[in-house]
Amino acid sequence: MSGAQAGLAFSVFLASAVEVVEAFTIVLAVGSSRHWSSALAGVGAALAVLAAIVGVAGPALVDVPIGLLRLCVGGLLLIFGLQWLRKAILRAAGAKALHDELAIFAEEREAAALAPAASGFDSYGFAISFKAVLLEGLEVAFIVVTFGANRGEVPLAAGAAALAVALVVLAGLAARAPLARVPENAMKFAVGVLLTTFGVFWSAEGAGASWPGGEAALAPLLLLILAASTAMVWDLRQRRAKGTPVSA
Amino acid sequence: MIGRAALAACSFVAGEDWHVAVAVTASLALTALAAATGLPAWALPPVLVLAILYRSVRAGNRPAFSRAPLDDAPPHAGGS
Repeated sequence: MSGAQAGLAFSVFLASAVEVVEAFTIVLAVGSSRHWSSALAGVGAALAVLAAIVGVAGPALVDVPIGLLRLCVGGLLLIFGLQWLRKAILRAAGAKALHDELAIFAEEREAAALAPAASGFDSYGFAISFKAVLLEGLEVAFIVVTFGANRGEVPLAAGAAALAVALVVLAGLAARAPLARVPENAMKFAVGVLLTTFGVFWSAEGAGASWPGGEAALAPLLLLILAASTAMVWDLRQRRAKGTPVSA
Repeated sequence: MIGRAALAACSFVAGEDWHVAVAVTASLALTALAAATGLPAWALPPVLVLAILYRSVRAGNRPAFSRAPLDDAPPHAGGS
């Protein structure tokens, strides 16, 4: 496995793990407070939709000319990655609430308890589980398809995502509780840096630029984006400590 | 139906700050232009992207001084 392949697999694994932790919390809250069968049916239906998206979009994108693919898909990945990184920087600087699985679990349980009870099939439990898995899973599917198609490595990307899903679900089943000890916010920061790095690299190539050293440029690019992001966190913390309003 | 799907897809990718999507598109156009004229275009995207990120982060920090810190956005993509 080359360095770029390892980077791809690691990025997809990390992003998928974060999303699965979030979906797991909601399904656990709904399933434990309502009906497990309906909640799991919602999970199954969402996974079927996601598998169809990856199954159709992945192979179709592989047939697109690589330059056009890198420009369009790399650009989309860059926009997507910048949104992750923006939120992660704001969270790290204290400008945005940290993601708290225990709080989300409590909120979901409370909402589930207030919803009308169901005697047979629980449409509430199904709908909440379906929505949670589909929405979180769409991010995973997007990353799997974009990473996989850009490198012609859809099976590797899908395998990394599947491994993340399996590990998180196994850990969740063993704990039988929200996975609050997973360092989600730090993982999201790392994912934001990785998605932005690959997005810059591929979209620039798609636009016609040639990186000095080819794929070896990924490492310094990653370090640059990491250093700049860390500096932005530090800058925001300083401003917030001084109470200095920012002017964008 | 198709319009709503397209809107949802745009919202999914662009997320909370649509300026990022517009600025990234413009920066890629600029990179393509530089590459077509034979300039070392690879140097542009990192600089432009970091400038876009800096502006977006500062814009996202502004509400913190006028109201309580933002809660988590509803679960949609464009970054978790």
